[in-house]
Amino acid sequence: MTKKIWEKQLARHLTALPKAERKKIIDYYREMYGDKPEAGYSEAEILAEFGSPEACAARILAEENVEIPPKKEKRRTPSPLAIVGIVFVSLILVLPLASVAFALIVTFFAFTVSGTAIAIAGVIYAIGAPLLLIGSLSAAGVFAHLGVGLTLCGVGCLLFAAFEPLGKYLAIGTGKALKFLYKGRFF
Amino acid sequence: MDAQLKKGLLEVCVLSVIRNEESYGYKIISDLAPYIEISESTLYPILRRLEQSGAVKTRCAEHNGRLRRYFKLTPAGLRKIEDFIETIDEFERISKFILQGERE
Repeated sequence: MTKKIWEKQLARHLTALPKAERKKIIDYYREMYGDKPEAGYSEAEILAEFGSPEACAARILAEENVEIPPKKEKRRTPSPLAIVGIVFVSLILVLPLASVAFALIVTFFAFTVSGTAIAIAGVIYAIGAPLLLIGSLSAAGVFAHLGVGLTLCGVGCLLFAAFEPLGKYLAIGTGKALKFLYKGRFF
Repeated sequence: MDAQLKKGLLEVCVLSVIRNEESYGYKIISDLAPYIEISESTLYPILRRLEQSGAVKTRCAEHNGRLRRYFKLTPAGLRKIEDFIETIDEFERISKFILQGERE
């Protein structure tokens, strides 16, 4: 245990006393702690001589005729008011997060569907248009329609491939924005 | 030693240590250690009681860059020592009586 921890624990055990009195006691032990090394004591020896913070506090409180309150048992079930509070805070926190998550899922879905649709449309157009118009089109026209269809298919595939990193960056960006908005409150 | 008796004795011992010159916590303990058992957490309440009763007065002074509290005997403190010295005769009589009873 270090001096700092020892002091902290002592202060915690003396909460029954007024703040000014607590400070006096801490100052007293600080002074002792400062004087003892001059007499050749090490930190460990000083703290061992002081004894446990709890025992020190108990002796002081006994002299002050302050009764040490028994430790309160932690409540296992929260009060109804606490439940209402938790629900309220959760709603404030969860609702925007849930909305953003939902919007992200919808966006991913829309991007995927549109990418796939363009690719499929390209394939259909590349095959269907030359077949339907085979009688009225020249060979060049057939190849032109086939080319347009294949281009569409390629664009759809490219878009589909691009949507994955796009979605990822969108999710990361949203996370950063939320972190910025709730900084100091929830993160 | 009985706790109450020791408490009373310690108060007079502390006053005696600062009878001739003011002193501070650690030195008071060091000066008393050869004669009576005393620890830091025992001394604090004694000093506080003596200060509250006006038997000692305190001042803070800097020492090696930190604060040290010095205790000085007041006339009320000196009276306390004198009162105790007066009761020593009575103590002796009582102790003799107790010792006699033990021998019989």
